[in-house]
Amino acid sequence: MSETHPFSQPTRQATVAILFILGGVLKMLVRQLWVVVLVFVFNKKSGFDGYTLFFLGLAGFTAMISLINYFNLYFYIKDGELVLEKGVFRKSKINVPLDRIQTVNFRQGIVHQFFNVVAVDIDTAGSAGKEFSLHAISKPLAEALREEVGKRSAVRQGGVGSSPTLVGVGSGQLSSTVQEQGILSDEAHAPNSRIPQLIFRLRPLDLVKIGASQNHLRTAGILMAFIIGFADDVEQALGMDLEKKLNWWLGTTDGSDLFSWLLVGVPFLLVVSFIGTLVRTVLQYFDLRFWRTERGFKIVSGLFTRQEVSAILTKIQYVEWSSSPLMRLFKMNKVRMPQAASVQVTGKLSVGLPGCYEPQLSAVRAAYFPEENDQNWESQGISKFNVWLRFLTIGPLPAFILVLITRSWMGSWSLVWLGWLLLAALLAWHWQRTWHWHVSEQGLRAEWGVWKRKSVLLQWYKIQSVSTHRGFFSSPTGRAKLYFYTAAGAVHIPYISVETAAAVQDFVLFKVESDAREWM
Amino acid sequence: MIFENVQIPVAELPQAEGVQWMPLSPSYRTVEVIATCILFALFLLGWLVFYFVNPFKMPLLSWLMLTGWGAFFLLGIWVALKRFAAEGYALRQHDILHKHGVWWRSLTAIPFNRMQHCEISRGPVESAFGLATLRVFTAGGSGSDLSIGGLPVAEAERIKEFITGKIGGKAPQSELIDETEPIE
Repeated sequence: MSETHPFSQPTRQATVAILFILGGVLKMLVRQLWVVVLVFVFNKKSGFDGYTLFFLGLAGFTAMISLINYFNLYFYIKDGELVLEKGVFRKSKINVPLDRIQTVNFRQGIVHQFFNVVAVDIDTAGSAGKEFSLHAISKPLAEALREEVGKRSAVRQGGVGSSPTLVGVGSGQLSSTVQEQGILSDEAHAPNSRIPQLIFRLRPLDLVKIGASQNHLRTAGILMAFIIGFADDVEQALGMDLEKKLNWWLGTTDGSDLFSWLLVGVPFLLVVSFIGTLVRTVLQYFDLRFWRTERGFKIVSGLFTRQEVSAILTKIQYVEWSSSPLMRLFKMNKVRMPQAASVQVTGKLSVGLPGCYEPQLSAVRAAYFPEENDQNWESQGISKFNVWLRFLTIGPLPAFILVLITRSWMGSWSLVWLGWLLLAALLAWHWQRTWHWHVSEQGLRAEWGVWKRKSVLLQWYKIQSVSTHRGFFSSPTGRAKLYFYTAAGAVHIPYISVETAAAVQDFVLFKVESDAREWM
Repeated sequence: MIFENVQIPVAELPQAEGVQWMPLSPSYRTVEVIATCILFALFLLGWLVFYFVNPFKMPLLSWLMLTGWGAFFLLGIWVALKRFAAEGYALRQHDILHKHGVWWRSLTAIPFNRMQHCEISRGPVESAFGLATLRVFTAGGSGSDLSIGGLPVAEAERIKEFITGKIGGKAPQSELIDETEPIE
């Protein structure tokens, strides 16, 4: 077969890629050496000292590495394979058969937009280390690459036929499998027959609701860890006593007034985390638009960097949705649609909505599992044994640690934390009661959770392997856990009776083995 | 086309638990014991360093640690022997089953129509005993993969051939493993 595309010869990235490589190397260096940078900035004396020399050397080294990286990276298509060659001392060559490429994603930040280039991420499912990224190539070239990959993908997919779960999609249209993985201007390139239908757009109020209902405690924890680590490093680097300075600012005395610290520190931390989460939410999900395309879903969002991710129906392995108490108050759900991908990019390909209402969730469920509502669902709970396990996990250890930590300043009052044991027992009992799983001819649905309610919807034919696990303590009493592994992660059911677990395993194997549909 | 929805007699489905399990090679028991001995020899080396450096100046602590080492070593050997007895595999018409584990017993089943590729690997101790490990890969991650150690090389090869044949028309994903990752 003659190779008539622009990729038959080894091609370099766009020259502007040097900037991105330089940025990447700098970011890595700053991450490693930021304390040195800080010392340099604060202790800078006039004149040409050792630090200046060090940084000049570092800058020169960085530039050299970037240039070498740029000039030694080529990609081309040969014998039906996309080949990437890179490296100077340790040369490496990655060959990816075109028909194995699952996704070609494009990213375009502000700098990319300015230079009219895009970053390209290529992924193949099931082959770790076989995915790669190009920092920047010109947009027309990227589109040509996408088209070329799409053509080969069509050859493979066309032969297989379309999945029965796809409504109204003929095998002829399957050629867009890879193409549809997205470019920011996809609409302009899409043929008229594939105009996506907008089903949801995040209004500013929704964005605020989502921002408000995020996990602020987690942000506070991260912030706290960062502040402690940062303070420690700064003290060491600058020889400065931060505690003294803070005491001076707060007008408190040295180290003694813990109450004042808490009174100021806790609200401050909470306010900062709240604002931080809100800002992050706005940056990430600003003007989020959720489209139904003929082959799946498309989500475009972001304030400065507009990001577009596509969820291809055939690649979605299961649908997961969850809601915190605040989200339930707003009648919103967070939705995740994990797609088949290789190990490294699993996180990246978990397409989802940070918050949506019931109709949008229903649309996602109906698209993934059109027959969901026509199924005869058989409901089950989980074993009471899980109450004990749950209690042991969340009860004694945290209580013990809290008592130990607070003992020095709370004295015997620290034993009050043992009350957590009671609360943990109640939570574990309630958690077990919330766990329900439902089995039908074609799939599984499960829901659980006390504060955060989670649900999952899985079709049997998406499963790649099934495991039953009998724990050491549970063996004599005949209980087992069930794991359903898909190409995008596992869905698991806590301890149930061994007989039920075995029966479900046999049934699922039968369903998977007798189903000829392509599962990813 | 007439839509059919035939009821499935669930009780008559083939049962994974009821298969006749194929045991592993008896030499694997020795391999498991040797592996445990090597691991505990390393711990013993650590203990020796600790004993001679004696950072806490507490000889009793050192001897307590050695007693603990001895107890865990015996437990390790016992687990290694039990692990051998607990492990087995079974090939069926449409899938492969693997059971393993002493404390936590697992039974994993992977249908052939969901496999990506399979390969055989041999460590130095395994090679010395003419054994091999068969690894079966599915798409997307290691969670669903399967690894059966302690198979005689010829048997492992036969199973690999069988599975590759079953994966069938699909090009094995191992094609993706190229010159950058030479297979020993």
